[in-house]
Amino acid sequence: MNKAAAIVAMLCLTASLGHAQKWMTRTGKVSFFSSTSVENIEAFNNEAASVIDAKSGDVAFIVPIKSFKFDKALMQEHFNENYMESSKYPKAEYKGKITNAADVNFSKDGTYNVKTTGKLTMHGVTKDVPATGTIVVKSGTATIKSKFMVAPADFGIKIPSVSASKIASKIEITVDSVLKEAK
Amino acid sequence: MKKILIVLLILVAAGVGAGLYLWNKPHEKAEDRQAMAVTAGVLSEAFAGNEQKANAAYLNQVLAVSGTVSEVSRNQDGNTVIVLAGSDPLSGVQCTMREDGVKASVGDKMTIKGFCNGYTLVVLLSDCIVP
Repeated sequence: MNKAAAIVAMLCLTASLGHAQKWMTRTGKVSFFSSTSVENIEAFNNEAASVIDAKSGDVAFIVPIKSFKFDKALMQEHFNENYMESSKYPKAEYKGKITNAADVNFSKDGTYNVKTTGKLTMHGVTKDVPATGTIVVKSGTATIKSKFMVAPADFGIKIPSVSASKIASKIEITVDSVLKEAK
Repeated sequence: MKKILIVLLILVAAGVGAGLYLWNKPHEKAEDRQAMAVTAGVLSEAFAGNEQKANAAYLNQVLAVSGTVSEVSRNQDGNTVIVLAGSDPLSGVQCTMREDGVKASVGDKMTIKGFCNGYTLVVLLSDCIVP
């Protein structure tokens, strides 16, 4: 088991022992959007796992690559086999910290602006990826919303020149995941 | 000359046809493939024990997983999600159903067929059907 997964497992374990400070989901939504003058490509994933420790601000996401669904089967095949090599690297992971966790009141409904610093690992490469977003607390759920840009080239993902005009050099990642308090 | 032109036309039409077919080819369905049968306990234990080895055996395969339903919910897009209990209370096999209308309640024994997408905190099965 690698480091990020171990941390998530640890967070869940402590959550299950009754410290009601952890929020989690196993059906989080993450999508991405690539826009060029030739075409727009988007894909959606409903199988992301995420855990937040409300007290420390630790935040972790595990995103299974094969769970991204495309409109076109052929695109999905190329994404998995040629670009992400998902049989070799089946998941992406984000492990970070909400730097202003004290500003978020998880027991009071509201929209809180947050900033994270953290490391994104995908396609076998780890990079620092800071992000900004909001946590919306509403009737017992905490929804993490964030958008940030990721350059495939930074993660060693090679796009052949024949496809270069169709795939953006920076891809927009959207996180919109509803977490529930772990009991 | 005319013959060559006709042959060329046929070749071009075949090429366009093949291209269109590839572009519009449908998503693979669980029922199109032979399923590997496994219990939810064995599957979740395999991933929790050695994820890399389990990926080599199960990732991308169509699995027919049998077990006891421990949770029924809907994901953010409204799809039915059924969790089959794993070998311990924290583990399980999370099955996202392809279509609505599957009847399942906690405690039911079921077999669910779908594509194995790997492991997060649970083993993931997607585009699932009840065979």
